[in-house]
Amino acid sequence: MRAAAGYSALAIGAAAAFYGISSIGFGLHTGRPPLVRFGRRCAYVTLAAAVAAFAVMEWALFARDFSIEYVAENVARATPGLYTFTAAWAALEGSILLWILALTGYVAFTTWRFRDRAGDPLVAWATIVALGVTLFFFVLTLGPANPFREVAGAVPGDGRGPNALLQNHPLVAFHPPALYLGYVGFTVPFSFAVAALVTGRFGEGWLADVRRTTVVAWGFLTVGIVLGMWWSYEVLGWGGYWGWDPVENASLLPWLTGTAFIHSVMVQERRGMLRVWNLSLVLATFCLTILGTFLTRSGVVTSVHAFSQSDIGPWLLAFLGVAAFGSVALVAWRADRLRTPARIDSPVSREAAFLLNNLLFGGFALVVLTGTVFPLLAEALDDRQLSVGEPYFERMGTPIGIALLFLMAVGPQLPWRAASGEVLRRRLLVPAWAGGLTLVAAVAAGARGVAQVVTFALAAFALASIGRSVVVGVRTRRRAHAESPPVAFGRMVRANPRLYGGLTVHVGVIVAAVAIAASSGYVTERELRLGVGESAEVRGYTLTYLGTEREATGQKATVKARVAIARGDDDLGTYAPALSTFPNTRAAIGTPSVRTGLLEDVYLTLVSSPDEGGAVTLGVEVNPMVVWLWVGGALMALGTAVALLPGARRRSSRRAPAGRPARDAEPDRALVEVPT
Amino acid sequence: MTATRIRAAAVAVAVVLAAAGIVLALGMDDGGPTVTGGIVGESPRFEVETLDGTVLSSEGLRGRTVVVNFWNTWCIPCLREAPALAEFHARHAGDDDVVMIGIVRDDTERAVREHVEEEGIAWEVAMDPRSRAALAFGVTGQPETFVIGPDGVVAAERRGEVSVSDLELMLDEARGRT
Amino acid sequence: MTRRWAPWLALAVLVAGAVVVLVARSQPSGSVEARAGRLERELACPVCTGESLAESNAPEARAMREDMRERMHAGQSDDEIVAAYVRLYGERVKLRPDDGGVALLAWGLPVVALVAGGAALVAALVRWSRTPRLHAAPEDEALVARAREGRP
Repeated sequence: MRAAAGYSALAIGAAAAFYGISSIGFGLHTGRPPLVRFGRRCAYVTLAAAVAAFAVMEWALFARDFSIEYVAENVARATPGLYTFTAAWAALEGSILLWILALTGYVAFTTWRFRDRAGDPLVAWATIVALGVTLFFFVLTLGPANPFREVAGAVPGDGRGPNALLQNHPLVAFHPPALYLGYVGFTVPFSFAVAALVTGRFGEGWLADVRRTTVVAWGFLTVGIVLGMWWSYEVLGWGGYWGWDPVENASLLPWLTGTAFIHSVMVQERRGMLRVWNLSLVLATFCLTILGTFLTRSGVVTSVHAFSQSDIGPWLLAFLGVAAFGSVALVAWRADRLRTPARIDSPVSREAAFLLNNLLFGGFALVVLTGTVFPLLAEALDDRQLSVGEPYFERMGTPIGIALLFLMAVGPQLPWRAASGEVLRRRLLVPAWAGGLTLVAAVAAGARGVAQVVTFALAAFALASIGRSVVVGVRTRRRAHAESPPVAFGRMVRANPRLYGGLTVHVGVIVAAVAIAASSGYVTERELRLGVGESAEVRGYTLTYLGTEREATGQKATVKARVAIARGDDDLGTYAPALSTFPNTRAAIGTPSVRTGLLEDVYLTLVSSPDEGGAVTLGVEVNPMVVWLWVGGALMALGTAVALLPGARRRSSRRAPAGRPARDAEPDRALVEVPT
Repeated sequence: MTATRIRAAAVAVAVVLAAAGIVLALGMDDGGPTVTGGIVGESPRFEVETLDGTVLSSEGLRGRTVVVNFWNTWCIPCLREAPALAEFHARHAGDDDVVMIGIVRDDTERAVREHVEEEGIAWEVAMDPRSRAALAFGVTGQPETFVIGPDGVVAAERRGEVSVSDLELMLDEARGRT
Repeated sequence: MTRRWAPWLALAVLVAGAVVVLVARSQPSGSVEARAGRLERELACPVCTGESLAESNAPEARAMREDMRERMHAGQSDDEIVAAYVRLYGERVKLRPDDGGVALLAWGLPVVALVAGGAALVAALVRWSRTPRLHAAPEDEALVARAREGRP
């Protein structure tokens, strides 16, 4: 019964997407606005259908309806409520359902936002493309990835429960949804980019239309990636947060191209340049999200994250092919109108810095892409089995990351158009000295590792540069308006949330970069064998093994080793790394226990359960600065939110005459060439 | 940027995409990874202690033909090939020059002892608590079977299940070596 | 002129000095533990998916970590140890494809693309900055206006 209800909802969603596409297309073709309006409403129906299908899935999971194969394979009677809820995306079919829910949400919201411009061919075409993507994913769930497939034969008495790793930490409730909201959000800019190509309207209008959605998607993707790192750190027990696994790389790829786009789009907004490039970045970012989905779900690469083998690989590859070749063909077709008239006046300018930024982000994306698919390439070309892992990505990525940090310090200080050497020297002197002194201080303190110390120095340079911008901004406002510093700061941010949101994101990235450099360079790792009551010392921390506890909850049987951590006379509390066993998994799953500190974490794992004598083996790592990675992630999220606040200029532009959309207004020349 | 350049770039991108698509499609067709390592021709050094406490080492076994089978109690293919191993062992029970050792990979001693008792396994069974024997043979899973000649050199190896005839062929291969 | 550049020169000297000390000090250590620590990250755990020896807790990974230290104490070089593991497990134990042939592609492709992109960017910037600022011809203005309006 539930299976039929869920499947019907999906079928209705597919039908609505199909009707929507046909109706808008026919309405545009024959010039009948009512048909276009009807087609747009179908977007709301797809959302309703997706919500219904997802609700039915949750209902089936909570009702333990084991007649549905997905339920039987992903929950057991003893699975706790939280993991029953998250089981909806614990396996392939359900994850596509969550994907559809996010996608239809974005499409319906975008349709609603542009309700006043229903007759605009650009918006109509964008809706067609978005509904086309929606239709594809609905079709996947109707055929090869049907989440409501019924079990063959007798209904089992109990289910298997989720994968052990997916029922071991509550972050599983947040990481995949955030990541999907990021991935899926890029469908909106993609659909507008295709619409711009189809309608031939390459004005900066479509960019303004999708800017906020792109930033939202980027923010969710960022949060999703950072939560994934956190989950990895808290659950997997190897003390790291990023393994350069193909699936992690797949989420990094659209993040890199999306970041490049968010920067280069500013050049187009100001100068009308880089049209082909920005279109290509949007198209590529979408294609990379589909590539990521393909890599995760086709079994083409071996990965710890990969879902179990399935038949949807060819479907996704075909869809990826249509999206990629369609994009390239559209760009080639419209090449005549895409030629850009403007040029950059000076290599020392904001525009030039953005171009360099794009080169570096593009290069980074190419490194990640090459490293990820290289094993396939080697097998296809040379029939050899080669691996690519952390050493490759680290060696290739570190110089690019360091160059980006440098650019983050210099770029925001560069004015548009052209800067004189004098201006640059004045603006950069104090930040550069901050970086130089940090370098000297780190070397004097005995720090090792070129990449690490250079990262610290450039981070100080970049932070000081941002600090300078803020101080100068506040001072200028105070002089003009006689405001107190906090008021001036607040109004300054409100007046230009995009700039200050962006700078907040930069601070987050810099903090994260420092955390990554420190935690990858200065780890202390030990393995201790301790009997009950015995102590050992690791880097100034005294660890005392107090004994073990056993407990059973739900399907899970856990052995916890209680370990007291002290530093000198300071008692830092008792921590309990654990090993858990689940009936559906043979190997025991370790759960680390982390004593988080501002400067360093003490990361404990239980390597082996107590032997006959009661002794255990403990893994101990002292990881510096890791908490700052999460702080950096939070700052990036905060900055994204600030950048989305309506700005002063945007609010005033709302008052533009109704007949002429504000987006076509000439850019304000005074703002473009603000004297420095 | 001129229209011609944009079109040229688009064609170049399309070519690269097509090539990448072919590689991805080929990658999808492939089954699991094939093992490319192998130790035929090498002389692995190992030392294991059998369940009854006898120490067997590569040096101590020199001069005899040794069949080494990596297995454990939870691996389904291992259980499937067990009858073939038993038959092979029974056939060669009288051959003094042949030794057969089942080395356990990734399992608990208690489970192994129970299993050996229940199934009446008559050949030598040894635990490999620190996986040093597995490393010596480059084992990456189970079952994996190796036959070592009297000279201590691996003459044949098989990753995956073996049949009686496989084992006989491997044995012939090894006995030829002196 | 000199007054303007003086603080920058001082900074450059300071940074250069610190970098020299830093590079000299950061030479990789040759101790067995340091070598093993580096090698563990370069090799894949042969029985895991996507984990290096340093990360993995699989029994084979532990055995290899132990074994590589023994080999180092016995005087084997890093290359010899890697070669021994490649013989056992195949080339896929190396996490950094480093020999010629197809492995060059992994390193070469992004580097060539970055260098070519960088060169193109520099060439364009130089070309633009050499030619004087143009005053747009009327048809250019018209093109821009049309494009801005989003009209054909």
